[in-house]
Amino acid sequence: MSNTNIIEAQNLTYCYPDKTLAIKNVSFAIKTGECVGLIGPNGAGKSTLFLLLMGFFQPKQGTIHIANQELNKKTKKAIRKKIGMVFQDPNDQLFSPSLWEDIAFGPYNLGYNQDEINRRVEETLEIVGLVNLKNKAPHHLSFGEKKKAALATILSMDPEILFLDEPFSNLDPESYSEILELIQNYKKNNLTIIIATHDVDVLPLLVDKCILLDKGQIVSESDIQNILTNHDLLLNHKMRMPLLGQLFYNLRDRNIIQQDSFPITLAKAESFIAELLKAK
Amino acid sequence: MFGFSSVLNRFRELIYFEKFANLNSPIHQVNPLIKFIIVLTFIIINLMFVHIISYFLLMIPIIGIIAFSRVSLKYYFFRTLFFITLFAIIIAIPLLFLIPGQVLVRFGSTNITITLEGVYSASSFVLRIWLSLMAIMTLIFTTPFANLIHAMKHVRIPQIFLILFSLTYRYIFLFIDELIRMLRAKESRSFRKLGFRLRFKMLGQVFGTLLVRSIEKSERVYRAMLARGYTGDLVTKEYKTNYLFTFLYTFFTITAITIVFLIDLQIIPFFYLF
Repeated sequence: MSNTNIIEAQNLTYCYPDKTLAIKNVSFAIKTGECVGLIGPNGAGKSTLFLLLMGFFQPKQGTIHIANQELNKKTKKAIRKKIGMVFQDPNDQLFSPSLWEDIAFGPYNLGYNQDEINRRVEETLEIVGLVNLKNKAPHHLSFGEKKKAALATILSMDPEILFLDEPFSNLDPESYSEILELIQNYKKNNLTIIIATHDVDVLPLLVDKCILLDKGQIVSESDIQNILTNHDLLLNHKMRMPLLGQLFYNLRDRNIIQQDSFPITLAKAESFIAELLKAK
Repeated sequence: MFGFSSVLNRFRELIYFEKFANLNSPIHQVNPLIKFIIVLTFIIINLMFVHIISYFLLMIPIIGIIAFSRVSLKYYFFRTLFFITLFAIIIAIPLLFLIPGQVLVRFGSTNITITLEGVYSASSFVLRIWLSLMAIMTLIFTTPFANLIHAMKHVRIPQIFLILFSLTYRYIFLFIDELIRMLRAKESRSFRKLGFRLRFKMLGQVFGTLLVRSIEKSERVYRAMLARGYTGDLVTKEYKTNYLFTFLYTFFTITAITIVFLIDLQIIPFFYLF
C-alpha cells in the first residue's frame, strides 16, 4: 500500500431528480493499493456513491479527485479507463451475444490491437476458470458463472481501481469461495479495491479499512476490526456483527471471556480459542 | 395449470435456437458471411417469382441444407409453421375476400365472396413469407448468433442496428423470464376466478411494471457499457471457416437458385412436364 491518495472525495452531496438526498456531505480518502469495505443498510447510498465516483451522476456539491485528476464532464472518460466497476446484477454487465465478446468489450474500447485483445481475453478466461464457456451466450450461464464473467469483463481491462457492488450476493458456497479467492489474489497485486456489501462475514477476509454509510452520510470510518466489533454502532445503523464476532461478544457479555478485543475471522478465532483452552 | 406464464414459456422455447446453432456439421462450418448473403439472395429471388410451383421448388435446397446440418427437421418445420401462422396466415385471410375476380365461394346472398385471384394472392403471399422465413431460420439454426453479428458487421450494416439487434437478442430471454416470474407470482396468489375486465387490468399492471423495469434495466446496462469505455463501436469475434464446405455450399445453393429462377422465367421448360 502506498501513502498517496488515489481517491479523494470532499463534501460530496447528491440529490436524485425527485429531490431525495442520497449522499450528504461525504468526505473520504483512499490510498493506492488499499482495500476498503463500504458497508451500510439498504438505501444507505453505497451504489449511488459508486456511480458518483464513476462520473455517472453529477454531484450537487463537492469534488472528487481520482488519480490526481478532478472528476468532471471533460475528464470522466479518461478516469473511467482507470476504474473497473462490477455492477450488482451481472445481467446489467453482460450484454454481448457471447462471453468472449463481453470480455473483449473493455480492451477493445481501450484501443488495444486484436492480438492484445485476444491475449487479454484468453488470460482472463483462464484466471476466472471460464475458458470452456467462452462461446456461450450469457443467458445460458448460471448465476455464479455470470458473477465470475462480470468480474472477468473488468479484469481484462487491467484497471487501477476496482469497484465491486455486492460481489457475493446470491452465490452458492463454491462460487462464493471462487470469487473471494479471485479478489484476494487481485488484492495482492496492489490493486485499489472498494467493496460495497452487506456481507459482514466476508469483509474481514478482504478489507483493511471500513466505511459505514447510513442515510447518505459516513457514520464511521476506521480499521475493519474497530467497526465490525462495535456492536452498538452496527445495531444503530441496521447492521450486524460478523457471526464469529457476535459469538465472542455474547460470550463476553456472559463473562465467559474477558478479552476486550476478539477475532472476527475463522483463522484468528481458531488460535484465539486454542489459547483460551490452553490457559484453562 | 394453463396460464399466460405457460404460454410465454412455450414461446421462449420457440425462439431458442442456440441448441442447434452450436452444432458442428459441414453447414455450420460454412463462412457465416456467405450464408448471410445467400439467404438474402434466396429472399430477393423468391420475391420475383411468378409461378406458385417455384416456391415449392426453392424449398428443396433449403430442406437439403437443414437435413445436412443435422438440425431436427421436425423442430425446424414446427417453428417455421408457428411463425407463419402467427404472422402471415392471419394477414393473408382478408386477401381471399378483397381481390376481385372469378368467384369460387359466395356466402349466402351477400356480396362476400372468395375469388380465384384472391386464393392465388393469399397463397403466394403466405408461400413467399414461408420461404423467406425458412431461409432466415436456416441461417439462424446453423450459425451462432455472435458469428451472425460479425458477418453483418462485414457487410457494413450500421453498428447501431447491430447493437440493437444484439441487445434485443440478449435481453429478450431475460425479459420473458422476468415476465414469467411476475405472472407466476400473480397466479400463485390468484385463488378465485376473476372477471374478464379485472384479469385484463391486472395483466396491464404486470406489463406496465415490466415496462418500468425495462427502462431501469436499459439505464443500468448503458451505464455498464459506458463504464467500460463504450463509444458506439461493437466488438465481434473472428470465426473459423472451412473453405471446402463454403465452396460446396455456395456452388450448390447458387446453382439451385439459378435453376429455379430459370424455371420460373420458363427458360428451362419444366412446366411442360405437367
